Amino acid sequence: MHGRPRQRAAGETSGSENDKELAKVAELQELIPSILHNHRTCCYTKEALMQNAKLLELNPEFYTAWNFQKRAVQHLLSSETDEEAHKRIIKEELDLVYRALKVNHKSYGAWHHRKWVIALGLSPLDSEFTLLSKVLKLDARNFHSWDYRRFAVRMKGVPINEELQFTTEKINENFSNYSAWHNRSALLSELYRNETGGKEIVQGRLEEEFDLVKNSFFTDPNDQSAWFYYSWLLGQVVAPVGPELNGTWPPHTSELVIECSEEPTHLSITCTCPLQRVTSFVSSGVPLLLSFTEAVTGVNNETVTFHSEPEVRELSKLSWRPVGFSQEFSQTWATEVRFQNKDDKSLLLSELTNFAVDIEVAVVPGIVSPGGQPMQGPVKCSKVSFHFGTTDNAAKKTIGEELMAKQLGAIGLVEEETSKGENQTQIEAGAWQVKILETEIESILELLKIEPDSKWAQLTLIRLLTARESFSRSRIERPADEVEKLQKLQGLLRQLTHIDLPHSEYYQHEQSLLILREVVLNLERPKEPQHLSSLLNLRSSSLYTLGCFEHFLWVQHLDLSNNHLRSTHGFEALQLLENLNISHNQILSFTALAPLALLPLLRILNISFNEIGAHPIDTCRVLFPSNLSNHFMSQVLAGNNEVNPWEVRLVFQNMNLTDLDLTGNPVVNSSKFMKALTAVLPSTTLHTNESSECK
Amino acid sequence: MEERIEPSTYDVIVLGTGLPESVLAASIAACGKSVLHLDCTGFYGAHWTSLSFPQISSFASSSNGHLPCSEYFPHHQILSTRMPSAPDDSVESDGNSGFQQVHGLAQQQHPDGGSVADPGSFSPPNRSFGNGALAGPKLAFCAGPLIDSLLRLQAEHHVKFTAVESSYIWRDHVLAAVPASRAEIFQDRSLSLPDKRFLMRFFKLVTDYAESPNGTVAELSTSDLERPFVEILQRQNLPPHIRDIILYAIALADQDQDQEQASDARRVLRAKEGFATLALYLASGSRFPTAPGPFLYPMYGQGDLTQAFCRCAAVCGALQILRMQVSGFLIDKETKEYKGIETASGQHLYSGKLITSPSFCLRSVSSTSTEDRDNGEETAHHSFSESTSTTTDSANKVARCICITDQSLQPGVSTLLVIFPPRCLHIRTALVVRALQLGSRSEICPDGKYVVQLSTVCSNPTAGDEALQAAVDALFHSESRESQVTDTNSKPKLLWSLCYVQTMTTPWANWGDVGMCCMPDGTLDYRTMMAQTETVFHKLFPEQEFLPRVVVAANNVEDGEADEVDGVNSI
Repeated sequence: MHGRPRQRAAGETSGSENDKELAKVAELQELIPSILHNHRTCCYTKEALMQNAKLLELNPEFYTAWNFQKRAVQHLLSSETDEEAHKRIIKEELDLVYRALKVNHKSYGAWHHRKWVIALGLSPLDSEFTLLSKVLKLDARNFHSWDYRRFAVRMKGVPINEELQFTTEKINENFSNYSAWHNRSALLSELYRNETGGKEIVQGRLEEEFDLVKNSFFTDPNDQSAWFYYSWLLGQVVAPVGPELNGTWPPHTSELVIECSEEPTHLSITCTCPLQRVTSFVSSGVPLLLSFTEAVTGVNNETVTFHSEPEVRELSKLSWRPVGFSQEFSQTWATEVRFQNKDDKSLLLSELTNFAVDIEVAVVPGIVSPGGQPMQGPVKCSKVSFHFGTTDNAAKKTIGEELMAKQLGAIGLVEEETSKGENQTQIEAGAWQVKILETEIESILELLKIEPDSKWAQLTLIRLLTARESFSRSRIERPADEVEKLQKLQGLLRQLTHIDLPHSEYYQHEQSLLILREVVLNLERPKEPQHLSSLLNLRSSSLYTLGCFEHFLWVQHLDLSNNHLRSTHGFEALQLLENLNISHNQILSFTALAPLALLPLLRILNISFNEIGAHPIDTCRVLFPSNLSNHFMSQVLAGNNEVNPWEVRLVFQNMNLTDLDLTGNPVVNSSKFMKALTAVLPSTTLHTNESSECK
Repeated sequence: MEERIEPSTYDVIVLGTGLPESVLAASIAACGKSVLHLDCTGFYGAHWTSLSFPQISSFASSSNGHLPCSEYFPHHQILSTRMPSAPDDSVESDGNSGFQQVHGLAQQQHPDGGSVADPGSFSPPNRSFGNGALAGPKLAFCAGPLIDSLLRLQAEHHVKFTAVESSYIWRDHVLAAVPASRAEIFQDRSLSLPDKRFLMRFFKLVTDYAESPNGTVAELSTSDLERPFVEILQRQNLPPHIRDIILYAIALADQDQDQEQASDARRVLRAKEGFATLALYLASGSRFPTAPGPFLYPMYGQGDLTQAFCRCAAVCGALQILRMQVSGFLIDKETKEYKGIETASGQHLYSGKLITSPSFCLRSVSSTSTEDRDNGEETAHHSFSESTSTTTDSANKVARCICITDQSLQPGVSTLLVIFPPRCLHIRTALVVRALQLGSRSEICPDGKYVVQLSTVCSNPTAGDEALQAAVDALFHSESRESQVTDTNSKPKLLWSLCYVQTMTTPWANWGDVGMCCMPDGTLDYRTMMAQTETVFHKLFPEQEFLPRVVVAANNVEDGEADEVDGVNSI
């Protein structure tokens, strides 16, 4: 009963009603013990049943009474053999539920009991639909009734189209009825699953739905039910088929030079990637990273295979691990290739020959999203050459120049492998979607002409433009055009931030992602070929969040200073990161830095001039994936706003930091904290104020 | 009639049981005054009553347009009648068996010289001036003053209503639904998407205006409200066909609002009036959950409405006597003020104040006086007072038409309203025509038959008749014209029709303690009638509250009213 004035609560009513209420309580108190007794002793006499019915009419929420009722019905049904008697029992039962629903038409117990009775299959279903039409007339958005209706529809086997017609009627009565729209989406999904007539029917149906829902928000653009349904429809147009691989390290066509490092068990790795980006670091093995569009599981030696020439046996024994806090699902998966001799002791690189390897993902099904959608495969993702031994700078340069010739344009995943025919159908499949999107963009622009300040229309326009763009991204476009598009979207989001202040953080978040896409675009299409370092400079970029991690897998030095970051969510994907500067952001707590603990190569961390220790409530605590979350919560509730040394341990104990800059955070004033920190990071240089920074 | 009426002195005597007289009788009685309510006819309702089909049928078929069954009704100027299919087999039989009432026969003398009514009874006036009228179509707004007054007087149990299920506007030779609520605008596929937005925005403006405490909203200046309504609509980006919907189907303009065609005679709807009607229309649509639209129609015809008020008056102690003819007024010899009335049987009845229906005409206060009966009294005969009767409005006629058809204009809909905006029927016809279809749900005709009432405000009867005929031809299939139209199968068949014209006059009385009620006018609803009735009330009782709230029963008044609308259901 949204938007309707609330009825007075019972307590506020007059004295006589209060007396009535008290009488009801007294009656209940009298009934309950005897009913519980009957329940225990399995007494199903006529009198017991009458008492129970009386109780349920007084209070339909008394679930034990419904249980008793169920047992009684089972007992009565088994003791009678006559079909007529069975029918009579069922009818009495349905009448009781009806009376209970009259008392409270949103009673879980009553509806549930009705389901149970109907599921026995002894009564006609038509009367259920009569009841439902009455109840839905009373309150068209009663989700209990809608839920029961779906149950009754399944029981009776009502054709989907007929039920769709029912939702149309309800929407015609009042289109601010999200229950009806929602039921519609459920029905349509079911219809598509059973659809054998091909894409055209789905497409036609979607167009009709878009038309219907547009009528609704043109009539009232402030009604959110229609916009929610619209966003579901949009999802049907652009829905990806499943998780996809969207990034790897080393990238396609990179050249790796592996040398002995000064430390005996470590390798010095230099990777020359496309576009001349050179990454070099010291590690115990060569890391391999796979990044997916959504969290997946099932990345292993069967789903990811290597074709090396000549064959390298180490590659068939790799073990993949999810990068993140989940042991099962992750967007990023990592492994390490180690080269060891038979003794597993020292590295004998001279024994190894150079080789090239093709990496292929999802050779067999098994990589699936949490929703169970499998990744479409296989995808040939990387061709990487490994060189061993000493290489001088000149040799590196030669490799670089060779690559230069090959790679202008072709980045990332191998695209050539897909067959021509397949490509054609994909483009055709995209065509109707692009057509729908373009029609919709036009409609929304028309609405915005009339209602320039409608936040829903603006947000939808952004979503439509983004979706439209995702279909054209594969085509070669001039980077300038693409940048222009991204900036236009950013402009729209900026506008929204002003119109819809309560959701400004969401818009800022979205805007940050667009800024990052612009950054990616500029990185991938440099104006002139040049040698690039592994530094990513995002200083003062108005970022509220970081994203596009799949494009930043190579980053070793990241400058994010002077932004508005509140967390480091997702940073764990940056497995090669060595030096991170997030000074002058809005990090509120150490728990917000938890993902950094998963970065094995991180050495220098600058978190100066954030707000750690300034706020009594740490909003990241509840998000922090730890079994001890409750412990944190109890601390919060106890009003302890001191940073817990335990948090410090959790975040920092596995880090191998050489430098940590905490200058300008209120927390450095706490000696208790500093003591804890020094204990956890004995070999780290701590910077706590500007003067001591050069220590 | 020989019996004497006791007592002989009252606070107020009301002559005539028409709707305004009955409302006044009820209101005055509710104020605690003693009321004597007389009608010379044998039935309630006077001009606003309902006649049975045989009555009206014989009225129409009689050569002189005289109602044979009732001597109380004067002649009507009949413009045309149509009985294309043999009247005796299809209609007359129905009339005898099923048609209970054809609603709304009312009459009005034309105040032209020589048309003189005998006191208390209507003698047939000169045929050339007989301008009788049936008052339909008339509808009550759910949130309008008529329904309010019924609720205030607790009269809602005396009359039942049926809701007008839907309204249509005639556009491009078909009926197009009038979108006047959120749900209707959403469903209307004939509106473009931007039109829906503009229309909803305009409705929002209307509700904002109606809800604003001092009647001002940012988008409308005070001077805007005095401007023609059509101008404001143009400013709101509303395309012509939507302007037509708003002007004629929702704001219920009675006459053409096109400014280019405007002549000084045409009454232009001002923005203030337009907004007021729109706001009432929108508020009416959502007043009663069981009434889907803004309009209500009294079950069993309009006659039941007057009876409901008469019953209220009776409940509050008013004495009602039918078939009581009045022969004259009693006038104070010296002051020439009203003193009382003389019945046909010669009894003198005294009251402080008198209320009469407009069909009573006062011949001349001074000219015909009879001998003194008592000290200081004389009896004046009713006469027509010429000076106050002419109206300045040139569009002073209402052409009306009653049709009987064999099927609904819209399958599945029983009660519906159709608006013909100007020039939709013919490029030269600038009149607004309204048609109200009543089916068996309103209990005025049997299943399978429909009564359609039409009306248009016009300045000359020929133009009015032409407009009505055009509307009738557009809506129905008549056998005489079958050859011209090919696909007539889907249209209802016109079984019987009657067109006539009524000339509107203004009340003549401006005499001391005498109040004169108004006649049925050309508007669709009862607001002008109620406003005029209130004026009469306050003229006679400046101190009293019009329609005081009567507290009788404890049950919720609003609920009671909602239950009266048919289609009630609740779990």
